Amino acid sequence: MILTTKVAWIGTVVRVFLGGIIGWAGIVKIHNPEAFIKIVKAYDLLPEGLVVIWGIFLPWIELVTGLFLFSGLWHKSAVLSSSGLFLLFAVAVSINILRGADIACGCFGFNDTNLYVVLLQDLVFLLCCCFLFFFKSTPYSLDHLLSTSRNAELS
Amino acid sequence: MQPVSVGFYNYKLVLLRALVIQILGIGAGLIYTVIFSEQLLFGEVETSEKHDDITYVSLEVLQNVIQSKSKILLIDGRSESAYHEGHIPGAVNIPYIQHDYFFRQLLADVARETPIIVYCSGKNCNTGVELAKFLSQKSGFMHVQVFEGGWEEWVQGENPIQTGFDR
Repeated sequence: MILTTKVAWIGTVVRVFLGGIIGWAGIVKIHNPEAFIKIVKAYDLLPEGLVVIWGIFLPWIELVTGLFLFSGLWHKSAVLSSSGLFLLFAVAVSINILRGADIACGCFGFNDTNLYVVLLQDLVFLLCCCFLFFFKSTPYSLDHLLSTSRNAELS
Repeated sequence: MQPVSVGFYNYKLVLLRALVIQILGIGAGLIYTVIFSEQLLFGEVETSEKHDDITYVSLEVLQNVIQSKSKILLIDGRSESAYHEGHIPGAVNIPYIQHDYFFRQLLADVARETPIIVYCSGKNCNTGVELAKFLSQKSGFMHVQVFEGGWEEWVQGENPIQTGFDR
């Protein structure tokens, strides 16, 4: 399958944007772990013992995933990891909407968000991930850089 | 235009690398937490975080305020269905997830000097505080407080409740 460079460039923009968003969401939560743990608790989806563990590690998984996606290293794996995160968030938010939602999102540090908007946002990001998954790599990515230098070495 | 290949890929490798990304995240989180926030892993986590810019009222204070029939606006930030099942007598329902809409419908013309007490389902919900922040910081209300114990503490204290819609 062949894609034109124009589409590949759109892929670069989407990749950098999504990577930035995920990474930033992680940084905001790492900055105030207690507040994030409280939000995880408010979602009421995990047993007590897992709430703190989830609250500590999820932001770091977001940050590392965001860095990989932003830099374009291991493109498909970073996209897969991001998709998993967005899918997880979408499910958690949907359950709480169905329950009657007595929580504020806590997604990017700004809590003043309607949960329906958050769900829509997660689904749009998930669609972006589906789009990115079609690429092996996009321009201005570490994958692209590594394969170019490898090809140059071989020739 | 230069073509860009997207062809077939080794999906086992993709999955393995995705797993490595997760492990790297967990590892980084573990190292950071052990060095900078050890109490999160091994100590008691205070999840009922207090906000400096918000004042809280206890159950006793709320009971006194209601009994004295002081002119306050009591706001229930829970969902419509939860409110319908039961709420603190006299409370007005502003569900957090639709607070913009309900604010315009119910509170837009209320005097900004009116004292307000907000509550949600209990100590673990954060919508009470978020609603209080919205009312004080964005809508200009000058005396907004949060009943931290929320509906849970009110019911546990065997206080009177009201059902149905009170708007």
